[in-house]
Amino acid sequence: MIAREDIDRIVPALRRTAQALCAGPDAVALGDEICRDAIRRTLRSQPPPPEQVRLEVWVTVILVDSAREAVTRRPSQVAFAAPDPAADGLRERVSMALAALTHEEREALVVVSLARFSYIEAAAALGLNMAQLMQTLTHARDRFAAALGQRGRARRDPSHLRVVK
Amino acid sequence: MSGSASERPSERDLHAMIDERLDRRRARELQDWLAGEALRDERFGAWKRGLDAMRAAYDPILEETPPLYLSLAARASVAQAERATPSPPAPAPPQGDRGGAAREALIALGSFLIGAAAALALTSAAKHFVDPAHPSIFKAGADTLASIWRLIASVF
Repeated sequence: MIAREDIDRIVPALRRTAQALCAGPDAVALGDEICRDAIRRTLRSQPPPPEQVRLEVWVTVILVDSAREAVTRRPSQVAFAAPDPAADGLRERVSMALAALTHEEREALVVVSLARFSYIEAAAALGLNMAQLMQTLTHARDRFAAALGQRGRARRDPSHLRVVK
Repeated sequence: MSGSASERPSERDLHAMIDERLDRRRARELQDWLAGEALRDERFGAWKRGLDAMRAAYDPILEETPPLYLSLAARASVAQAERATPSPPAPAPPQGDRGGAAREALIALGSFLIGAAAALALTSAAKHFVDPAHPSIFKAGADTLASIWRLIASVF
């Protein structure tokens, strides 16, 4: 039986993971929606003992699945507006760069670098072997850095901003 | 996870370096290896900047108060799951125990008869002690009790 205190304890970390997985202009709403969905599904599941699999890892397996569904069915008209030059907009820029990745790349990067799962936990959560995880991480890091770099350059030179509506 | 500064590190070592999961000695070896070539050092630097940006952008969410509806959903779901879980076996009556309902009915009837007997006793006592020449509130009370008793008796 999962204690409600255990769920409450991991909710902030789940929200962080969810919003990164749902990178996009609607990430906050969508992220919280999939958090709620994942919590419900977790409570209906039979998690392994916490000494074998941490609860956060177990919920994240479900969260990743929910995020894929949510991002796939996201309305096509949802798109990034031009970043506000007056605002710092760090999360928006990072979110845009994450949104440029494939599902697999984003999941690997978020679970390892943001959620700080061990490589073994990340591979298990994503259903990959270690070599696949490392390869996916390499692609993810290269593409994320490139996307972030481009955004950075675009930000320095507003004439290159591409407004997607 | 072995090798010297000149030996190409494994992909896993490189990621572990970015994610700060290498011991200090091995991390220093990798730094030396990276510094040996500008291009790979630049690539590694871009990875590291990406990681730092991602954490700076999303880690503040940990300090936010989760929306109330999310917490309530968790609580409601827990309560629902608790209700759905077959809770400690309530002592269910054995299938063949048909006497259970009869026993309960008998107890109810017994309680009713005891109450009725008490009402009758009170009525008699009231009639005995109140002077008919001086009707008082006690007399009125006795009459009421007698009426109740007649009503009960008529049911049977």
